[in-house]
Amino acid sequence: MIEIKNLHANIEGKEILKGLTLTVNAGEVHAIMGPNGAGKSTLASILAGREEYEITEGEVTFEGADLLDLSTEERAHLGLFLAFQYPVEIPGVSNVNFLRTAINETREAKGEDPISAKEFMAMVREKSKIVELDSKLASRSVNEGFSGGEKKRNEIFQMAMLNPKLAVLDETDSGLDIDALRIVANGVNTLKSADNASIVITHYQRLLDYIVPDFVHVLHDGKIVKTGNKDLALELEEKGYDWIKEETQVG
Amino acid sequence: MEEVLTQTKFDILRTGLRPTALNISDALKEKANNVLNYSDFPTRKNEAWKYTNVNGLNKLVFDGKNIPISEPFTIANRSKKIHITNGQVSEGQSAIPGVKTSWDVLPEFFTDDPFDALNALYCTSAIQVEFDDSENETIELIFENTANSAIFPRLFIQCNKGAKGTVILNFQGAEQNASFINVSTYVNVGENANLSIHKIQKNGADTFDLQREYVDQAANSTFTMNTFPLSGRLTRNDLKINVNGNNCETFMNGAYTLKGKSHCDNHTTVDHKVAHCYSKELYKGVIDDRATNVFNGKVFVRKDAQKINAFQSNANILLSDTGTVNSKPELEIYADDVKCSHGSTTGQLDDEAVFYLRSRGLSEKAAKELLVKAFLGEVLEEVENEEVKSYVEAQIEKHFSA
Amino acid sequence: MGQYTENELAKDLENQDYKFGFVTDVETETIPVGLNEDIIRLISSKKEEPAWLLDYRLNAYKTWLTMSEPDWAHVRYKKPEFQKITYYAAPKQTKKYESWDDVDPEMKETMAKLGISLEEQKRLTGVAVDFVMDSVSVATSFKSKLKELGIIFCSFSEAVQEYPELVREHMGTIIPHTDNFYAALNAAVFTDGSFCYIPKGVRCPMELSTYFRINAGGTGQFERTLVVADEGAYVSYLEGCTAPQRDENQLHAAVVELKALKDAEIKYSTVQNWYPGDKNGVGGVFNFVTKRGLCETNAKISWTQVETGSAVTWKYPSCILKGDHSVGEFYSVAVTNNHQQADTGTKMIHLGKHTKSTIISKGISAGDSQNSYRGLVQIHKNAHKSRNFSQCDSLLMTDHCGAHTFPYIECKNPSAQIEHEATTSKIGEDQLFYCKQRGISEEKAISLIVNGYCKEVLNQLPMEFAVEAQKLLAISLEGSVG
Repeated sequence: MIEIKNLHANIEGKEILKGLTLTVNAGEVHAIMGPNGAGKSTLASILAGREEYEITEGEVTFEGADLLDLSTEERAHLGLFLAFQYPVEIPGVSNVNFLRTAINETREAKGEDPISAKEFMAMVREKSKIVELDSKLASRSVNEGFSGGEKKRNEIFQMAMLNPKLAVLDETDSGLDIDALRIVANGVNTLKSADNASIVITHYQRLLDYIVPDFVHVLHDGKIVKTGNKDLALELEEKGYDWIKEETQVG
Repeated sequence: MEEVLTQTKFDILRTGLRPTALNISDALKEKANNVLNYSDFPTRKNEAWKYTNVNGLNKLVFDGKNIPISEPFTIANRSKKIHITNGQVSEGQSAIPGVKTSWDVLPEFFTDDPFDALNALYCTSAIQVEFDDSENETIELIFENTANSAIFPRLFIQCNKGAKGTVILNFQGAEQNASFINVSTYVNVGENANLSIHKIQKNGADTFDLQREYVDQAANSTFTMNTFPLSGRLTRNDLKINVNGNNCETFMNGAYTLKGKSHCDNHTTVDHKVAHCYSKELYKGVIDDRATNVFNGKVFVRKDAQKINAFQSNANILLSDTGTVNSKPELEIYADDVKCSHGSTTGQLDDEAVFYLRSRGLSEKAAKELLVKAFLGEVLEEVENEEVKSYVEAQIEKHFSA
Repeated sequence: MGQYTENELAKDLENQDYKFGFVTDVETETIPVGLNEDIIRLISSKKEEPAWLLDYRLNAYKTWLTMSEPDWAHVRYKKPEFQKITYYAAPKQTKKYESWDDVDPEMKETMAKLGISLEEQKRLTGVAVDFVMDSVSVATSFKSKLKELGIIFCSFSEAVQEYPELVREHMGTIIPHTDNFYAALNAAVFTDGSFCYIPKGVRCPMELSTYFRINAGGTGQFERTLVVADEGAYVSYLEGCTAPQRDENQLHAAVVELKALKDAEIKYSTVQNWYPGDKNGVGGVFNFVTKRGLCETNAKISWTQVETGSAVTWKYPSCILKGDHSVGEFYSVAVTNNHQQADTGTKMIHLGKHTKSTIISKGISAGDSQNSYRGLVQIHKNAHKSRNFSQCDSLLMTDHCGAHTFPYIECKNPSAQIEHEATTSKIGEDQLFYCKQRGISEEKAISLIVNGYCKEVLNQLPMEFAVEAQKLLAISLEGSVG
């Protein structure tokens, strides 16, 4: 699905990613963990196409296309979805209008007809249940006046509506209480299929109790320094990141 | 072709004034005369003077009648002080390093403002204050006005590269004083310098006080101007700040308490000429009796001055049926990557809050006083110098107990 | 959700240029260029006006001669040459229209192109439309139905003939001919406009609408609108404007007077889309308009405007809140692109007790344009317990445009509450990125965000107008991000 090879990236002259390599196949869930400043959110931003970052080396192939060559919206059209760590408020633009525009733009890019109002509303009703989102939130302005938990649930709701191939969840668990965390994780699990994949970026192991990853990678100093299964996450929870740092330095 | 006006109000005013005894260059004299020859008192049609009428200046009589100030008036104990009495630097004061009061010839600084021209031609004292190190010395200029006189101080404040300094401009006059105070202050804040000016205008009830500050800020500097017009017949302050270097911070605060027939007009302009700067302005005041307050704050963001954050706020409480508030906060913005905002509110004290306090046993008067003090307190919070802060607090207290 | 689909928007976006830039091929009757007393007499006689109106015009002309062009607005333009303007241009027509069927087919087509399909609107929405082309009102639909209710809705000239007492009683009482340079000019040379009177206690059952169009070259348009809502009446009035693409600057100097008597309510909405000039700032309409309303006790006037057109706009729809408990509202969206300049805002004059005003202004500057909000809130001595709330936001799309805010707040009453807030910022990069990540193109994302930003104002418009306004916003901001 996605293949990241030897990715190097700078922001304002400072190198953040220093040769990151990662392959994700359909049907898989990958967790990326690591201490603060390791480059986790940078990876998410670069995959989605934020322009502040300068790619100095490496390549990323997504669904057979050269991802780095595509604009942000083209990546979205191909099925890349980023659940934002800090979802943005857009005053005056209703959630449904926003989503319908997003869906129709994607359909148009694929040469499909726009979604009918009826079909769309049916989909809104169905998908909002997945994250137990109050239907009133659908008609409110995008993320405006939403609580932290509502914003994150709204991200997963949008993910359900857009049905992406690859979802990148950037610290989706941050700021969530245990109930909200359960709902969000439940949503993500419901959407999981053999055709799609997700990359779950998190600082804590907590989320991985609910979204069980196939692989756990440790990102440190711009590189993946250790890969394991879900047990690695537990080990990290118990021992912290220092031993990884030491191990890397010795190695 | 502009024609020379027959007899302007400036001409009338000038007949009662004594030309400066200080040495000013012919060039400066000519420039100043030129401006005055083609000017008359500003009128309503002049946008910058729309709400302020200075015609009363020509009714003042500079008879030199002595009216001593009864109460003590120095503000800071820890400051080095210079006394200026009725416009003249008092004799016999010991020299303070960095302060210059005698001149071979006055510096050439000049703007096209007729009141600045007047100030240059009739200058009664010229004082330069220069800060050279990071010690943050406090220098207090005490303008003690004990006679009905015309006073034209010309001030030059220089805060050199990396230096830190505080200046207190302390204007004091007896309540019955009827003077004309006209001050031009040229300020230069060097790179990485940090300068604070606190200006207290506690003038006689019939005194006219017209002041201008021209400030230039170099890169990475911080400048704070705190203005406290506490009393006077007419007070007009024109604060113009050019932010010429990147990464500057600019703070403008003002608190005013007006009663009687006081008219107070604060005009401020902060001109962001370059990128990455921050400015914040907060002016608050209470207006009682037949008093009028005018606020005009302007924020300019020039083309290419990106990443500017500028905030401006003016709040007024009108306590009487006969008071007037005119507020004109303006934004003029030619760059796009900016965050600028301004706000202005005018109203009365919250009835609910007054009622609440009364229900807790406070008299109506005490309740109102408490709320007004809290309202002005927001500005005083911004004042770093504790002595200035407590002086102004005490004056506000007195204002309400009188 | 609006009825307007994104697909329709996309189609509109394809149309890069000013879509109303066509010229209708109807024969026009004009009079000699220039302005003098004889021209004014000629206009008056062509319109078969009573003597008092001619006197009014001549009086205004004399006043105008003593006045000079206002220069305080934040706009720069080459002053119009008043002797080079044709002050009267009418589609050549021998007889007056008796019914819709009599209207020239060319003209009907023009209206259709403008999106005023009268037939359609009659059937679907029940909007009564008056259409003013080159200064002369050519059709007023739906007249009979309105007549039953005693509502008068007709061209200004017709009102002068049919209801001279009403016109004479109210005309110029809110905006005297001495008010300003362009109001004086209008009073001297106005050729037509709309007149509307809603009798006591009548709620006008449909939106009344006037479309103004400048068609002939070298002409100015000087129309006058007078709306009187008698005690307890209600009316919602819409006004739309277009002009063909021409290299010259055409002058539009209109006067709109509203009078809301006791307990009456007038909602006045404008979608102004005069030709803005080309990308290099050549041509375009100078839109110098005086609009003012008077509220008697407990009355309400609400101005809503979406300003996307004109090379230079100078316009301050205002409310005089004379009666106690009266209410004034001003909702405005002003978009400027390329070399457009707009200086617009409102005046809220609080005279009565417990009067209330609300000002919501959204400015959007793109290209090399300059966009200013200028507003006055004045609380007089006796306006006890009056309130004003103003919110003026500016959005900047490029680094070479300008956004300015000049509010004047004057308060002489201690029990008044005035709040003014203003913000200026760039269109949110984070918002754009968020939209793009969801697959929305930049152009569409801007349109979405801008429409959201203007929501509070667009919500005030009647549905059909809101849809049109949204389309206009999208078209005006085409390729605007620099």
